[in-house]
Amino acid sequence: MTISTPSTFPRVAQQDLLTARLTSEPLSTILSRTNYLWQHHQPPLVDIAWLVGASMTRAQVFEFGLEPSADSLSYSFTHRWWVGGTAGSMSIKVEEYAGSWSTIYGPTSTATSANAWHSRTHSATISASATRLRVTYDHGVDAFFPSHLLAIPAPTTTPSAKQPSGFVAFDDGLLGSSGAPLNTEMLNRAKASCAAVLTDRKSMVLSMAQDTFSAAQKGQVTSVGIFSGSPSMTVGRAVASLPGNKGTTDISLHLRGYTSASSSTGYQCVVRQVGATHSGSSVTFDLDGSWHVSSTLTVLGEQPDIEVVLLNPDTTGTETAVVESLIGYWTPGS
Amino acid sequence: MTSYRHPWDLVQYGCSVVYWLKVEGIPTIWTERALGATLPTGFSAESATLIVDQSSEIGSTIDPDAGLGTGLPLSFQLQDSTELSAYLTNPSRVTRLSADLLATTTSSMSVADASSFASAGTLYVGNECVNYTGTTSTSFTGLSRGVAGLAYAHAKDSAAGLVANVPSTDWRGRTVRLYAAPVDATGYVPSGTLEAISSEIWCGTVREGPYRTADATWQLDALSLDRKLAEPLAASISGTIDSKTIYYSVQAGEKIVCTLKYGSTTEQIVVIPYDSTATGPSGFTVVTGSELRAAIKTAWDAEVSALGASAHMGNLIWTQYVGKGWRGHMLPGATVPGSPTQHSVTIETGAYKYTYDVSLPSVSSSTALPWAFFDSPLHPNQNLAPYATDTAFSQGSVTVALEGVDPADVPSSGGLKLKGKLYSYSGASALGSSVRLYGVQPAPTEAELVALDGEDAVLIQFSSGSLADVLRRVIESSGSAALRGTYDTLPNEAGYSIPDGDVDEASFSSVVGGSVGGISFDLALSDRSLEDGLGGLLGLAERAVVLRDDGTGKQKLSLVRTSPSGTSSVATIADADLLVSEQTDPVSIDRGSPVPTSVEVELSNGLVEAPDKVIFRKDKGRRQQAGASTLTATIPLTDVSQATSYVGLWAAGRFSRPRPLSKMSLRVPPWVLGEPGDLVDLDLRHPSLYDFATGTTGFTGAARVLGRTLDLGSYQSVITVVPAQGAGLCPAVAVSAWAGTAAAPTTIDVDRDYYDHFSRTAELEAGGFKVIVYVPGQDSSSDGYWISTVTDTGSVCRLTVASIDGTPTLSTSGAGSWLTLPVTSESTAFQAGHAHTDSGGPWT
Repeated sequence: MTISTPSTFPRVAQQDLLTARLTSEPLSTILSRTNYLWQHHQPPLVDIAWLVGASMTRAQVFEFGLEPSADSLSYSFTHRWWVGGTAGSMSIKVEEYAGSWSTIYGPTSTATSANAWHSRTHSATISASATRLRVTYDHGVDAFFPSHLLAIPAPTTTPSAKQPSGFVAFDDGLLGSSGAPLNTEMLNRAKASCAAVLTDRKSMVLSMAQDTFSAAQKGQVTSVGIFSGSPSMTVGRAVASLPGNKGTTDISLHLRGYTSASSSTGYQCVVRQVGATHSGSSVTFDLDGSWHVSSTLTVLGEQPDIEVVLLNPDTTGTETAVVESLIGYWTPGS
Repeated sequence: MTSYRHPWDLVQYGCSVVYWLKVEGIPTIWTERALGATLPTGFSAESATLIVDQSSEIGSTIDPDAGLGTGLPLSFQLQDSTELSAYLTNPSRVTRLSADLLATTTSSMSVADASSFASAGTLYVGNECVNYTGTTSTSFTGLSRGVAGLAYAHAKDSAAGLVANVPSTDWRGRTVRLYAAPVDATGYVPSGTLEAISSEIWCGTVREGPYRTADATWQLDALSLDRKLAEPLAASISGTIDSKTIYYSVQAGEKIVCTLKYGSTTEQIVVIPYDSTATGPSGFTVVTGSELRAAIKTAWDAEVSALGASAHMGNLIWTQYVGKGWRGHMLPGATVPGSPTQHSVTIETGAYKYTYDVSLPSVSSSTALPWAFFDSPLHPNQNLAPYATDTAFSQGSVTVALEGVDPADVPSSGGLKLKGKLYSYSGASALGSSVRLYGVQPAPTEAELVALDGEDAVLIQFSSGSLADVLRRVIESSGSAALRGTYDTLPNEAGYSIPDGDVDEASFSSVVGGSVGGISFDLALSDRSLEDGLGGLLGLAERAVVLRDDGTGKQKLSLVRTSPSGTSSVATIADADLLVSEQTDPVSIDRGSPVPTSVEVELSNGLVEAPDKVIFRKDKGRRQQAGASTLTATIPLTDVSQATSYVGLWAAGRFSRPRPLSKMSLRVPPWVLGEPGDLVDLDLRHPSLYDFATGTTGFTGAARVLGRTLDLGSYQSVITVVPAQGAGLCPAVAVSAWAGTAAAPTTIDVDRDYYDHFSRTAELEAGGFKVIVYVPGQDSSSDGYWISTVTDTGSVCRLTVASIDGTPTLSTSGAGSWLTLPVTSESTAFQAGHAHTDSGGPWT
């Protein structure tokens, strides 16, 4: 009994389907594709360009919502940052929140050179129950500029047991036997396991996160998102990429935002699809310092134009409305 | 409850059958001989005047490429009788409906004059029989609808709106159900109600009759129910857009909530221009733009007035933006305090609600506040957007001038096709020779409507959803919501109005999976039949809708597979089952159509034109050698990439066939099982048969039943089958429970659906048979169980374990334990008929 995971995507030629005789092929190859998919389907769980103003000389902390795989996968993280005129050491720590905070990587320090881009790649396992991720960058007192974080699924083995997502691996112990039955479960397994992996691994299609280093400085490292005396302001407008999405689909949103006002009433963030063709759907979040999750933003098409608008009822020019983090996840095929 | 499965079961033991039938809305049972059994509900008499065995054969045969059963017609005669004469005599009392009658109305029926009718009794309207318990001068009361048949909606201005004390002498359209009841050699008929002791063997509708024959009987000719699905549905309705005056449709209760805040004070008014008492047709009030603005202002002024003289909210004024629309402004009442304030506007339309806030500068009472009440909700910060009542507050209303069509014939909801674009509407009312549509979505803007003036418009009915749902909706829909079943959702004349009791709804879900499970589409059948619109898709996907016995002695429209492969046969047909007579050979062969070398599929759903209408796939090599043979079809998909994917799969399946699908027609006794769509096992040595698997005369293996007919006189049945051209996949079934221990089970429970398979295996392998057990993901062929007996517990299929091979341990956690057939070397002859590696047959 062997679970083999091909290193390249195995293909079944059209003639193999047209003239197939009743042997283990092409079913065996088709099933081995599901094992390949398990190890190599890597939609970004995290794909964020940090929203920062200028080179900072203190630690910077980013926190954002998360929808990891139900299979508690190992992910490959790649951090990228710029170091200013002083070489030093970059310390990176990654924590997950699943009812309480726990460190899944670091803090690990790396020597850096001045006036250069740097990156670090590492693996870390994110539990299925994690709902948020927190990343801390610390370069001491030396100026640096955190740029980007990418985290993609990177399982190194294909498990034999049925996974919480529904994935069941292909083991050649039965189909490899001489005269083995070609049964309905195996044919269905090929489809079900593919569907399980594709729908379990959500793709971050919308992201924005600002430094949360201290309560006093929440979101104020950038002027974007700070305004007053206006009823509303468009914070940003971006095109989400949902390849293959012909009709409407729902994007799951995670948001936390703040206001400097003593009462958060009326301070809100609206996320909606705009453009020539749109679904008409919008989601409104309160900017009250709490995490909010909504799965009801319905978008239309493969490249929906998403607009984020802040509502600020203050007319004194003193109160701010800030989105600290806004994340959107899409489940392909949903 | 009878102890036999079917009356034909008793024929093999010396019994005979008696035929009897029902004609919808005629409360008399027509029988071949007096039965004396308890009559079905709604029937009051029995007339032993039926002559049915002169009819040609009845039954259904599937045309696999057409996707629909071709049921055979039934002709029968009724002899003169007192009962029949009563029905075929001009009415002595007649009146007309004075108001349309809904199918569900049971309180009263309004008529022109009911005075000549008995104070209680039976009346006939259309094809419906109605009992009533009372009358007034202009109505019948206490109605029992659909006696001896179905209830219908009746229009007062239709010929079918005639109300009489006897049925119409034209019985066209009435449903006919033919039954067989067993009778022994002494003439004894089992006790029980007539329907309980009988099986329904045919169902259809009267096409002609009753008409007088030369031998002084009355004849009726009826078409099989599945042929009804080949009849076209209502044509689309054409007209032109009339946008000389633009109308808006406002739902009653739609409101504008305006709130003015300053300091700690809040003023609010709720403006409802048309409240629920002003509801027009279909829940909409239809007005011109000026009427709508005037109504809003009237309601506004009343609200502001109610606030009193000190109110800071004031008059509403309208400003026109030429070419764009109108925008509302308010002149404040009392001077608003100078401190910065805000106001908010909320627009509520049904379930839709949107609020936006706007800062308010310090103003005096003479300054118009820049409120834009009806800006598009998608751009609340764009204050210069025009007043757009059709995108926010009200919904679209479109007027269509009809061309030779009565506006009353326009369904109350449906689709509107304009310049290749499809809109939906949710209300309609006549406007002279035109029809006004309400709730048009997506709502065309005023500018769009002006541009559309004079353009051709087509009113069209359509259904959206999965293949299973569209099929069930088209079959059941009557135009009266849920009258014929849960799938009765389409407007009048957009469906066949067949009640769910005649439809095996579950078969549509269970059989529609596989290669067509994920298909979803829109379909319009204007002036087309279900066969026209979906036959191509069903044929390509090797499915068909056919009238067949559902296994309980009831004829139902079912969705079945037609592919020449599969497992779980319902019976074995052997040489001993063939009926030989001097005139006929028990086996005949139809060599079948050539294997196609190309497939040409047109994309059309009757609504929109696909950008690339035809998909062509060919097997180039075989086409060059064997010549062109093209399979053509029309399918309702319009997404070319999706359709291309499906067509590729279907074409590959057809191209891979080694030879034409030759049909075998087997003459057998009526008790041999096998309805269209079933799989049967053949074990025949007839010389006209040839087995390619063994290269010998005869045929042993599985076959798909494509047809079954019955000769009513001789009771002989002909079952038409296509032999399997490849073995079906082995079944695999999850273990749901067991007795004993996981390591040493004494019995194992699996899904009851597998009872037929395992019981037939046990039947053929009297010494027991082996199954192997494995855990998906940890697949192994080394462990298994020998099964001695198979039991149907009523809820599960229970396998009794005789012995254990290896050291398996059962589990239901994770992927659980699964049972499947052993490798070929360990398998029985029956199991070897399923697909195993090295079998040598083709994947199909």
